[in-house]
Amino acid sequence: MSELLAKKDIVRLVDQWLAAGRRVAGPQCVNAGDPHRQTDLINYTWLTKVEELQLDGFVRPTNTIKEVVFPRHEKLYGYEFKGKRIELVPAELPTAEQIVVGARPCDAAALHILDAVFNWDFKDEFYNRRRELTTIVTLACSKHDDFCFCTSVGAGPCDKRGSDVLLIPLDGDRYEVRCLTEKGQKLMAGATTTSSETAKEPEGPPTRFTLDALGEFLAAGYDRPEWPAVTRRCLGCGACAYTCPTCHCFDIVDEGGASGGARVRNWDACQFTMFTAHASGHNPRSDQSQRQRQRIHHKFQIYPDKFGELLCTGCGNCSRNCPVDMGVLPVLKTIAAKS
Amino acid sequence: MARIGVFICWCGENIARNVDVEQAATQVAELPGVACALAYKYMCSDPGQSLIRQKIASEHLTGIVVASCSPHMHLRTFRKAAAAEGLNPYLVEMANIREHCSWVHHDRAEATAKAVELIRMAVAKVRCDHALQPIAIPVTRRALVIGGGVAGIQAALDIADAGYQVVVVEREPSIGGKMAGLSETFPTLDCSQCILTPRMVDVGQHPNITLHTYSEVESVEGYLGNFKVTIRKKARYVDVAKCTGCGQCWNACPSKKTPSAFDYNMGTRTAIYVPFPQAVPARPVIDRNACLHFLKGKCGVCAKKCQAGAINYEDQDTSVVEEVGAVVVATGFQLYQIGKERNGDGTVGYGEYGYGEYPDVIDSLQFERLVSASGPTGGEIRRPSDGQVPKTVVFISCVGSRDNAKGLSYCSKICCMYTAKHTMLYKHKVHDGTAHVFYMDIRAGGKNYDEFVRRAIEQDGAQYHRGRVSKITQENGRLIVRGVDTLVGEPLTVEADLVVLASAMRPADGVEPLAQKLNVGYDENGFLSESHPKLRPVETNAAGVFVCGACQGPKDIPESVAQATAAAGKVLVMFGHEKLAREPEIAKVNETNCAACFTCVRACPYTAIEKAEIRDRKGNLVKRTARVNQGLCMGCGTCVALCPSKSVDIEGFTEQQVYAMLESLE
Amino acid sequence: MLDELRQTCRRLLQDGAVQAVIGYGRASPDDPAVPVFISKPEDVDQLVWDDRCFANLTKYLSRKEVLSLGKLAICVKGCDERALLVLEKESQIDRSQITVIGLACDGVGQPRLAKCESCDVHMPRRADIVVGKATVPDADAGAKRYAEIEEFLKRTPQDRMAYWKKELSRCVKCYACRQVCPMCYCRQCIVDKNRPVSISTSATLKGNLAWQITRAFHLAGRCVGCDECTRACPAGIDLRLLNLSLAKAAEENFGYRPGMDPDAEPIIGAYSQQDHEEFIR
Repeated sequence: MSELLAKKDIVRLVDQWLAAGRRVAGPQCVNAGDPHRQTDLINYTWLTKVEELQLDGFVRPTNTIKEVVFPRHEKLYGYEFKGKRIELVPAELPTAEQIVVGARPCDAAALHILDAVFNWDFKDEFYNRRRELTTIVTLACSKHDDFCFCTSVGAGPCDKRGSDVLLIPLDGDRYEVRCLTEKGQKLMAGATTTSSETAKEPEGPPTRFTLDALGEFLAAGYDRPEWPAVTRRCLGCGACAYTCPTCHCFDIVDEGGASGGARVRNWDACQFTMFTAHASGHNPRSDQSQRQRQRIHHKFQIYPDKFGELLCTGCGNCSRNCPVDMGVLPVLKTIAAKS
Repeated sequence: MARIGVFICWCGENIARNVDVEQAATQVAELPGVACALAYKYMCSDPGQSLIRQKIASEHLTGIVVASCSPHMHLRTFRKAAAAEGLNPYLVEMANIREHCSWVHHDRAEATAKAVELIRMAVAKVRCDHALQPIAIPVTRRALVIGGGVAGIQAALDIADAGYQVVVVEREPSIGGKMAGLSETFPTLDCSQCILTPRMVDVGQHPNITLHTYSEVESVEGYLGNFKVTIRKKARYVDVAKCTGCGQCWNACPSKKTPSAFDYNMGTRTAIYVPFPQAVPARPVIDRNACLHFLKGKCGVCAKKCQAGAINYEDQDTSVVEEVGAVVVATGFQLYQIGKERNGDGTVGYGEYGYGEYPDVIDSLQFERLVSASGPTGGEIRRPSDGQVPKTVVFISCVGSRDNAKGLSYCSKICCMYTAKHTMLYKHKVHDGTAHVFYMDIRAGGKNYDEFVRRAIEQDGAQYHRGRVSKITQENGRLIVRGVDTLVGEPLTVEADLVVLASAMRPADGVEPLAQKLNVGYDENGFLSESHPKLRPVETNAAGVFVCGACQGPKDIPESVAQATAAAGKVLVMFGHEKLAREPEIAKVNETNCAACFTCVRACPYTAIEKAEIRDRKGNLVKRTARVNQGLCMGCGTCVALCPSKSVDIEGFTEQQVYAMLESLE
Repeated sequence: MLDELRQTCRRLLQDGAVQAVIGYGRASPDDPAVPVFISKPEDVDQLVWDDRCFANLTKYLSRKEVLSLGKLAICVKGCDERALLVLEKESQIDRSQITVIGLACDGVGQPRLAKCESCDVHMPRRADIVVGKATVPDADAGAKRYAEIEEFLKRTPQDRMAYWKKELSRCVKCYACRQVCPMCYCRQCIVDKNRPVSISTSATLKGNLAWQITRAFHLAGRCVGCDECTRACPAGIDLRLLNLSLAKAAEENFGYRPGMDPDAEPIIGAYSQQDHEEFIR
């Protein structure tokens, strides 16, 4: 027995959620109506009305859903200078419920993976509060492109990790609904119809490389000579990190003036030259190949060693958004082939 | 950890009248980083300074703010006080709560609030100050004087007499300038050459003076205390070492028809010539454009006559490089070229006066040559057209000067005086002659100057008409001068035999390219710019370069000589030190960060930034960088504004300080 | 033309005239063209040239990871070659040490990129070796240069500000625009400095406006319009419009187009007596 939902019912549900004052995010064409645009830009954004929601017609959005639990800019606390004293003003944590509808499974799985690092030696209350407030409805991918490699890293178009409700497309603009958590059940209560039809789980992209081969290369040593050649075209921007669902590095800065300000955290990227620059002027990762090497090791060796999951869900965003078509996939394919 | 002391001055009641200084002190004591804040009646006084010194010691202050008058008044005072107590003088900032606050605001509450803000800014600034040391620049104690007129001569002699070497560069074959061509000078009627030539001889013979005549400055490199000047010595075709100045060559020269520039084309000279008999050096030059040997390959008489074998037709221009520490510019003036329309120099000639058309309309320097005993007429005043003695001479003042429509808006200062002098010299030689002067005003402001003009009018009978001349025409060999006498209220026409135009004084030709080589500014008339018209009249904004004489502005001989001695004085102040101390608040490049795009090098108005290379111990190039020359930088901040990566900053006025000051105002 | 290119590069590497060629390559036919660095003569067959060779390779002349390869040859389209001239004028490259291989180009992209519609440099103007033959630009191609910004400027200031606020709120401060730009070669960018903080690093509207406007101003009179920034931006912001407005100002006020005339002095920092002075009253 299965539960089904029609597309128009999803539309109605989203409408209801918005009307009830909940925050709803989903894929949207953000440059519709822009005379200069050459292609559509689909991003996850907060919806103001249900008509903005676009569930399909594209492989995956250009950005990720990590913003809903890990915003690109977040105030940690405020401070005020009163004469010679400093007063701290705690930040207000959000209270509004958040729903993400139409998330790709690779995006949701990433949140599950990130839960570990945000609750490791320090329980990040900002992340956790947002995570508690968020219910995620994923949509299994019926399309993939050459950049997708979820199936090579233990993920896939029906990955259940991080998802509260999984929708699998059925013909006739319908979906099979699988509530994976209590939160998901609560959200969908009464909205679905029971049926005996089940949807066929989509297959996903062919394997691009094997994790064994990759693991062998990475385990064979840190100073492999292949790194400079394979990473030479990287220009050191943060496009890969910022469009990656699992990248979570941040920089903490104070923004303010003579009367006070706020301590904030902003996204940071390990590919920036300044990422490991010391106050002395020394930079242990002054070469791009060192920074790239660190990225691959972090995602495919260090994080899994520590937390038991790869820090990658194979969404392909890094390569898709890279100005010189790098990201991790070309690097992984090359070094796996070297083993 | 900052421990700033704030000292607020009552300034008697200058500040305290409008600013509640005690309240301000209470408020600023609360600012982060302020260790103590107090108010006192007169901070600049001895007890005031002692108070500051005491607090520096007892409160272990790391910086101080003095809130009082303008830094122009006492910044130096407070810096000295801090230094005396062991606090680096550049950890001292001032808040101007007098000129910028109590003197311009009258609402006490508002003025106090503003004073507190000004102090808050100064505290924010001083917290980011670093200890700085004055910059020591070595100085080559030799001077260069450009121009050998009376100003250049005076400056050179003063510096040489003080014991320093001087190089004098003069582009004419002899020094002496315009003064050597004058007849008698006002107000004493001294014979000009008689008082000048002893000075000229002194220059020629002085053991400390190297004289390069018939030479020009080609290029200038370097900076204050360390200039390298390339001088091009033009070919004389006469070997000055061998020549004795006997004169056989110019007496024998067959080419006699070249107009003499020294006589302003009123007379002629030979092809091989000295410009005037008292020339220093008394060595001739050959004018290639008049010499038959160069033009036609013939003659050679001078070489035959010369018993010293000094003629050298193969002579070439040579270059000499002089290293000097200071430059004095004394390039003098020329007269405004009257005549008809002239293109391209922004002035419109006085074609209506017939200059250049009627030979008997001349300018004032040409008249000087007529009157001069060594002139083309042997001192007899004769009409250029027919050689007759003129019985009626009209002198017209302000030709070209004070005339916005024709392009020169300034007063040439000397013409009123020399016109009066000209009437007197004329009357002394032509007793039955009549001198008419058409004038607008009489400017006779110097010592004995007004008395001199009175003498011309009352004793020598010069007829002064207040009015201008509209037109001069010629009829039957006489000049019809149509003017007006506004005091009588009627037009006035004078039939004259000779007309002398008091033409405007302009800077000498070629001064603008020279100024650019020296980085000295000049105004729209080409006069070189002094640093401050009242307080720094002989310095320029190019450190180490001074000006004196008519190149700085129209002036007479006493003023030129005074300025020349002043400029020499400034040079001697420089030379009084082995190293010059400059304020360190200049630009500095962060050489690690600089991307070497050299936008700053292009933009620097003082060409104070160089392209430098950083090499490792093996000599390999590590990186290029811009580097500020500490001798030239004036701290204007243009480079800081332009640098895209903010790799250059002004010490003591850093971007961080400016931001801190602005943010402190919230 | 591709054969000619590969042969040229093979010869350069074999003769030892260069140690590495910076060019375009492709892993498989469906992949986009990517920058490649060929050091061995036998690898020149990796080089490709077609209308999907977007990248402006001149950026790599500022990257130490590439400079360390030795003497370089670089493949440039006409628009990229302009960047070489600006880099030369700003003392960033020694042109005599680089072999410039000019690629005749009729435009890239399907559909053609906006910049190609008004291109007047189909043939790179100052290359050491030119490969291929391009079509002659339309006579009116150059006149269309500022068509988009002129159209945009017809909107009211309020309208335009609303547009930029909407667009720039998507910026995530990834600095892809900066990293692809050959003119952004500062060792430490102004946005990365915090003594003082001139530009907020936060990806808020305030921080984004400050960043993009500052970068546009730092490119005034320097941007050659290669539009790599627009292509690289993962947030789809039309940076081309911003840069066009300043390029237009440079050309209209000073008659200057960066990267076109080897004898022209860069306009920032240089002056002529004919410069407008209306701002002095």
